[in-house]
Amino acid sequence: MTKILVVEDDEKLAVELRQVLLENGYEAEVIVGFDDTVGEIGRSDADLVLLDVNIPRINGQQVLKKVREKSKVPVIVLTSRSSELDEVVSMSYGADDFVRKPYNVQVLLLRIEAVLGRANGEQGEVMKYKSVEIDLGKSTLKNGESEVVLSKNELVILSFLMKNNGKIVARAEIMDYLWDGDRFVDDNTLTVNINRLRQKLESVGLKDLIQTRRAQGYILE
Amino acid sequence: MSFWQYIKDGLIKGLLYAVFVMLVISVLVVFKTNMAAVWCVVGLFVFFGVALVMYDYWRKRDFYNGMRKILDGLDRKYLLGELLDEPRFLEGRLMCGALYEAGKAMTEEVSDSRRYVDGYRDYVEMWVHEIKTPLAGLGLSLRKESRETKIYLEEMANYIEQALYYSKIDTVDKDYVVKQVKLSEIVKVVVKNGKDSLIKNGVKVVMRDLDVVVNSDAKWLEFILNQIVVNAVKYRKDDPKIEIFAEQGEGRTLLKVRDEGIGIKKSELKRVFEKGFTGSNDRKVKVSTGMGLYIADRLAKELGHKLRIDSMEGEWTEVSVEFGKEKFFEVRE
Repeated sequence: MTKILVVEDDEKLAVELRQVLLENGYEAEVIVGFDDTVGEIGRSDADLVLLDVNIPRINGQQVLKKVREKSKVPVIVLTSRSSELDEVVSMSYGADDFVRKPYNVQVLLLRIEAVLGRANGEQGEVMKYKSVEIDLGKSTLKNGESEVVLSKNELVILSFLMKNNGKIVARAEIMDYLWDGDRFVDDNTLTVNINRLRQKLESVGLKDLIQTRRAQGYILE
Repeated sequence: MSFWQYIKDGLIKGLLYAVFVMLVISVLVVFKTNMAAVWCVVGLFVFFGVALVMYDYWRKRDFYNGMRKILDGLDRKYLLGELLDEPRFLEGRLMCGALYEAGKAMTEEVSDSRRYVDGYRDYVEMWVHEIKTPLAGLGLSLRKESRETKIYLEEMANYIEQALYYSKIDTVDKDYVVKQVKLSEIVKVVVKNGKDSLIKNGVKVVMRDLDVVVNSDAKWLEFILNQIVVNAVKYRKDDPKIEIFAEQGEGRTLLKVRDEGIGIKKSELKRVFEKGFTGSNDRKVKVSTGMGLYIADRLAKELGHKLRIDSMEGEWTEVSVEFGKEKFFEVRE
């Protein structure tokens, strides 16, 4: 399992971050003392480090510099300073990415995925669920021999449902996911998209793949 | 100080002098003095009288004219006392000394005020920086809550950003960096920023023709655009729609935000960017501070951009950001 190290001195925030990471399938470790931050990072075997720039005793950017002397571990810098200059400075010290407070969870997770993806050199192009296969690159849906083309929104919605297979997904969650991916749909458009998606699923023999749970959301059968 | 002013001022003295001369002449005549001698005396009185006037006038005129010139050329007029050279005549010296003292006191107060404002500005910057941490914590703890709840966070974040950017107006150390920025990227960030209120209020967001690059500071531009979008959402009608697009032409680029909201009265349009202006439509919606567009307008000016607004009351409102011919040098990547 992928392990992420959280370096954040605000206890409550650190605990919340840890919670979010655990909920999303990562193993999470939190640094407790900041006397030897660089050392602790070095000793940890994490696959990625979330580093708050404002930690006690030492400047976050200095930590980054020192860590980089010995290791290539991916680091995402967390900060409340939001000017262009700070971003440039952090990146020049070796950060892989940069997230500003207050955090948007979805964005944070996407960035983590992106940085880890880059580190491992992997590119997930195809998603599978039971007999259903969607090709993210070609935007197609395949069920055995039958294939149909999906619109961008339909693709995003279905891939999100697949990622969360086994769980009921609320409409609000789907909306958030779409918006975080720059697809700014409103409520009506979402309904239209889901209906069209269902029609296309029916056309390849997956009529009731998306089930509605009243007042709760959708779930893949 | 013109010659006529000087003469008018000395009229009484002149009159007294004339009376004096006439008295002397009368005495001489009464004592049966030789007329030639009397005329000589008159001549001497007149001659020296005029000479005295010319001398006095000449001393003072140069000083006062010089003073006028300095004053007209001074931006910070309270510094006059420091720049004036002391004149040779007593009244002038007395006034100059007083002017210098008064000016010094003024300068000290101005410095004190400046120091106070700078201190306050630093405090606001620090405050904004610190409050982002609990705000982030709140955002994470409330991530599973309803949109109604999360909208409060969006509103808080907006007011906090306003406080930060308000203190950036008119500073000496400009912290913006003008680079090439893609309008599409800026708009995406801003729309996502207001996600909860846009979705909750059923706003249809349409973005088009934004594949344009302009010279600006990304963060400042995001703030400006955010204020415009927040207003578009606030002053909406049923079935709200916001269209964000770019127009190019005549050596300038325009970024436009058009909403189909309650609009603004034609008579109030030119006041929209005034500090604290809230307009008559505001009472129908909710109480507003009237600061958002004011700050946005001031910042836009500093960047060399121009904000414009047009509206049809009850129908639509369109705010544009004009990126004109740049007055800056680009920062080379």
